[in-house]
Amino acid sequence: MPAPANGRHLDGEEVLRYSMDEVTAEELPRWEEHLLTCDSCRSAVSECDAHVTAMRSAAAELRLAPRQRERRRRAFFPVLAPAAAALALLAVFALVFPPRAGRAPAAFAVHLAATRGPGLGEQAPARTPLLLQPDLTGLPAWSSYGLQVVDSAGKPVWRGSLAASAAARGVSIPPLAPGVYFARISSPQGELYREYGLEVGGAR
Amino acid sequence: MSEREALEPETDDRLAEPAWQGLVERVQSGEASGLEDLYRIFSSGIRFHLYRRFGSQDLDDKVHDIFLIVAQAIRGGELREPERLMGYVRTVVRRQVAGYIETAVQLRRKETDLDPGMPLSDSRSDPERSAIERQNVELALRVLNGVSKRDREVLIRFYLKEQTPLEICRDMGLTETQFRLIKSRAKARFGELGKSRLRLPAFLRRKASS
Repeated sequence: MPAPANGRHLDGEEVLRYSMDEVTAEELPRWEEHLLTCDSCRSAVSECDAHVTAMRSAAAELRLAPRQRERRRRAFFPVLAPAAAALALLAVFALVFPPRAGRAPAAFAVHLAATRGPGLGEQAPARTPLLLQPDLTGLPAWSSYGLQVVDSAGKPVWRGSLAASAAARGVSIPPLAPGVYFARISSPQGELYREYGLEVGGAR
Repeated sequence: MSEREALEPETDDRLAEPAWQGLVERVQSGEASGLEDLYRIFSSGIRFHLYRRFGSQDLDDKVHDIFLIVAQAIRGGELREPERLMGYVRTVVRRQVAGYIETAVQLRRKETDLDPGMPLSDSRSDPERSAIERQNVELALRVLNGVSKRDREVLIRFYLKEQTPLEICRDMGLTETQFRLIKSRAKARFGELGKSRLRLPAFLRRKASS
């Protein structure tokens, strides 16, 4: 027997936004309550989840192919001269216009590695851009991975991808408010591999 | 109209006001029908939310745990406003999700002979799901390879880079209508290609067969 529904059904755009975790704090309670009891909206979200996950993974795979072609092209057409000229220009610019006080702080590097013992994991300052450097040792060798940051309630606060070749350099994420977060590494298809705890700012 | 009939939707357009008061009273008084209706109304939704977070691992146990918490809270008089039953269930689900995550993290800390970086869920226990997801990626690749270079760039920016529609339209000189068309055409094509191949996720198959 069908269950009673609560409130208005989610329209197509709302289903997509919910599937991509782009729901406002005001919308989330109403939508989640609605989805508790509405079969048709749950089916729509599940279908959309499959579509979004597949498109994201496929886009990641396609994105890598052009980069590989570009690397081969660069091997035949060196670009050192223009790059050197650009660096020289930047150096002159920095000398003539030195950094002023009050600019945005440099990103704080956070090395995410498996740890043992008490404590949640890594610590980072609040309201400062972070540079996450996950340890990918032992993971299946994908050319890129999914990287997601969730809060203590499991709500995603940031999502992106991480090229394996760029793991040491890290991935920049926006500043976080004080609290406990978890950084999740997954396959391009969304299979969760690892999760690292992160205490930010006043949670210490 | 009986109370149990009042829990059924009247039509798709007119959504019935659920008789939460009566349901809560029946659960509080220990009536079996109360617990049955409570489970029937909320179990699919609870399962849906948990499946999206954790996959199918231990799904039945987690659903059962949450149902017990809600039922015991109602019987213990903790739900002071019956009309807020849905909000209460939602709150319990969110707290349990946070608890499951925290438990998994702490468990890894305590079990020194295991790699603390182990994943929360073991996808090896759901190979069927992995196979279906791979099929869907193949479909999506066909969609992306079948559109123009511009449309492909739009879709990559939206789904992979997660740029907003506003950013994409501004960067690529598109109107909002053009952007929506590109997105909806790709979604429709994905649906067409997958009509015979897309399958229900595990939790919906369970629901369909119950």
